[in-house]
Amino acid sequence: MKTAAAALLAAALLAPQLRAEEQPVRAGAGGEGFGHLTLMDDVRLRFTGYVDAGFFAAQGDGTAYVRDAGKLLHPEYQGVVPWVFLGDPWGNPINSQGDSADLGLDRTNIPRFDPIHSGGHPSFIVNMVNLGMAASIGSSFFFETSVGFEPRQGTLGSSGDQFDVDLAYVEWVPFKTVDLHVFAGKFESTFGIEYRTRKAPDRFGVTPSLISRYTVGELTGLKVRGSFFDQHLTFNLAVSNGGTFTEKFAHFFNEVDFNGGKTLSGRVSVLLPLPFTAEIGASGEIGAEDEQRSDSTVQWLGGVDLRVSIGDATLKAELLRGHADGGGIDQAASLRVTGWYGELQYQLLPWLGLLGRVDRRKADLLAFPNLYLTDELRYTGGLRFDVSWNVIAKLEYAKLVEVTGPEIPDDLFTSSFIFKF
Amino acid sequence: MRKPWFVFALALAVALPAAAGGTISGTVTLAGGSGPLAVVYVEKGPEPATRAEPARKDMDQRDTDFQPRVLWVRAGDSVQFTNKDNFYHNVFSPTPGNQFDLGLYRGGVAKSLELPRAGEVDVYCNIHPNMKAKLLVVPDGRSTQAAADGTYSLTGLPPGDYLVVAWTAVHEPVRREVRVRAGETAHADFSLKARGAESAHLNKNGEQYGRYK
Repeated sequence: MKTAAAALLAAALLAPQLRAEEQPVRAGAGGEGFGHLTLMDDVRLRFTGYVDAGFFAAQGDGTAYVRDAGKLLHPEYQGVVPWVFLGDPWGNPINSQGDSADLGLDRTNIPRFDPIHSGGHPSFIVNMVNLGMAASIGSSFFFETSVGFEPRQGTLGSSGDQFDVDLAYVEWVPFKTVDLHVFAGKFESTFGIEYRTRKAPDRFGVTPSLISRYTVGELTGLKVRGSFFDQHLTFNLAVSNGGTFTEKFAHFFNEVDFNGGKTLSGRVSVLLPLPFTAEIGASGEIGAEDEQRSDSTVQWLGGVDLRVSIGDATLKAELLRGHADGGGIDQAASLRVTGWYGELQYQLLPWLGLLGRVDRRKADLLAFPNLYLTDELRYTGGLRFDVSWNVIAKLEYAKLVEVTGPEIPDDLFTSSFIFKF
Repeated sequence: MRKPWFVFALALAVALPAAAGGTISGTVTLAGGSGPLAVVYVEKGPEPATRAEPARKDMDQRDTDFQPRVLWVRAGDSVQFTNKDNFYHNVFSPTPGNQFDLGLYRGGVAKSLELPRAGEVDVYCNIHPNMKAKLLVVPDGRSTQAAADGTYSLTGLPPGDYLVVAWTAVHEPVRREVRVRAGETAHADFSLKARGAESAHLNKNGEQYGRYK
C-alpha cells in the first residue's frame, strides 16, 4: 500500500512536468482546457492580496441620516416606535466595503461602534489590507481563502481593528467537459452581479451601490454553479445558513446559524446571442430570517440584473425588492425595501476610465426601538486611473438627495489607491 | 533536328516569364512618418505554386511582458511561448476563430501554439492584464516586411488578380486590389493611418479582471 501511495504521489507531482510536454494547442479549436474549465493548471499554491488606502471628505458631520425629533415629520408613528430616523445611515460610503463616513450617535447619545467616525472631517484612511491564498489539488479541486484586515480606532478597551475571513471554500469541478462547479464552505454570493466586483481592486469605482448591502454578502453552505451552451446559460444555486444581506444596523445574516431554517438562493442568467456582450439575469433568495431563532419568520429577496458591454463601455443595472418579517420572540428587525442602480463605465483610454452611476433605495427598516425611513437618490461620478496592472487610483464624488424628508448635507468625495499582487 | 530545339527554345521563352511570375512592389507610408515596420502580404489571389513547410517562431514572456509584442507567421506555423520569468503566466486569446488558452504555467516552461487560420490575433495573460501582444497570421508565404524606408516587393507571383494588405499592429490595415501580369511589376503604394486607442480587454472568461465564482 505504501508503494502504491508513493507511486500515486510521484505521479501527481510529476503531472505538471508531463503536461508541459503535451502536443501544441491549436488556436480556434476550443474544447477541453479552454477558458472556464481551466482552474489553476499547474499551480499548486498561490498568494494574492491588496492594500486599499484612500482619502475622503464628507459634507456636514459625516452622517447621512437625521432623527425625526418629536416625530414632527412622521406623527403617525407617535406611540408606535420610540425613535424615527430619516435618510440612510450607509448612504455615504467611503470605500468598497461600504463603511459610512460617520454613523453618528445612538438614541442615548452614546457613541456606537463606528468604524470610520470621521465627524465630517477630511481624513486619510487605510480601507483594507487583504491577503488571499489559493491552492489546487490536481485539476479538479481548488481551495481559496481570503482575509481582510481593517485598521480602525479602538474604543473603551477595544482595539477597534477588524478582520474578516470573507472566503474559505473548496471548489470541485467533477467533470472535464461540463462547466459545473461545486463549492463548500464560505463563498461568494449568488445574487445579482455586484458581488463579482465587491473588492476594491475589482470594482471599477470606489463605492458600492445603495443596494449592495443586500446582494454581496458571502454565504456559508453549499453551492453549485454551472454554465451550458458555451456559457450562454448559467445558473448558481446555494443552500446556506443565511442570506446575502450585510445590513449593519440590523443584522440580517449569521456567520453561524441561529435557527434551523436554511436559505435557498440562486440566479439564472442568459448571455444573449448578440455581436456584443449582453447578459440578463434573475436572482432570488428565501429563508428563515437571520439573527432570530424562529424557522417560520422569513426574509426574501428578488431581483433582475443587466450587463451590456459594447466596446469600451459597460452598462450595469440591478433592480431588487426585499422583505423580512421581523418580530417574534427575539423582536427581530423587519424590512421592506426596493432599490435599483444603473452604472455606466467607460474606458476612455487604456489608463483612464469614467464612471457614472445613479441609484435609489426606498426602505422601511424597523430595528426596534428604531425605525429608519429611507428614500434616497444618489448620483455618483468617478475617474479611474490604471497606473499599471497592479496600481490603480480612483476618485469619486457622490451627490445624495433625500427624496422625502429633510435634505441632509451628506455629499461625499472619496478616493482609493490600490496596490495588488 | 533543328526543329525540336527551336520549338523547345520557343516554349521556354514563353514559359519562363510565366514561371518567374510577376512582382508587386511599392511603398508603405505610415501616419506620423515613422512606426513599426509594416508587413505586406497577399490576402487573396491565385494559388501559389509551392507552399513552405510549417515553421516555428518564438514569443517569450519576460519581465511581465510579451517579447516580441508583435509577431507575424504563416497559417500553419506554430509559435512557442516560453515563460522566462520566475513566476506564473497564462497565455490566451479571445479572438474569434483563433481563440486559445495555453493555461497557467511556471517559469522555464514552454508551450506551443499552432495557428491554422489567417488573421490578427490578440494575445493576453489571464493574470497580468498589462501583458498584450499581437500575432498576424498571413495566409501563406507571399508576405514580406517593408524596409526601413517603406519599400517592399513581393516576387514570383502567378499572373492574376490579388488582394494585398499592408499591416502594422498600431495602424489601420489597408487593402488594395492589384493585377499581376507575367514578367511585369505592378505598383501598389499604401498609406496607413494610426488606429485609435486600444480597448481595455477582458479576461479569458469574458469578464473584467477580477472575481467571478
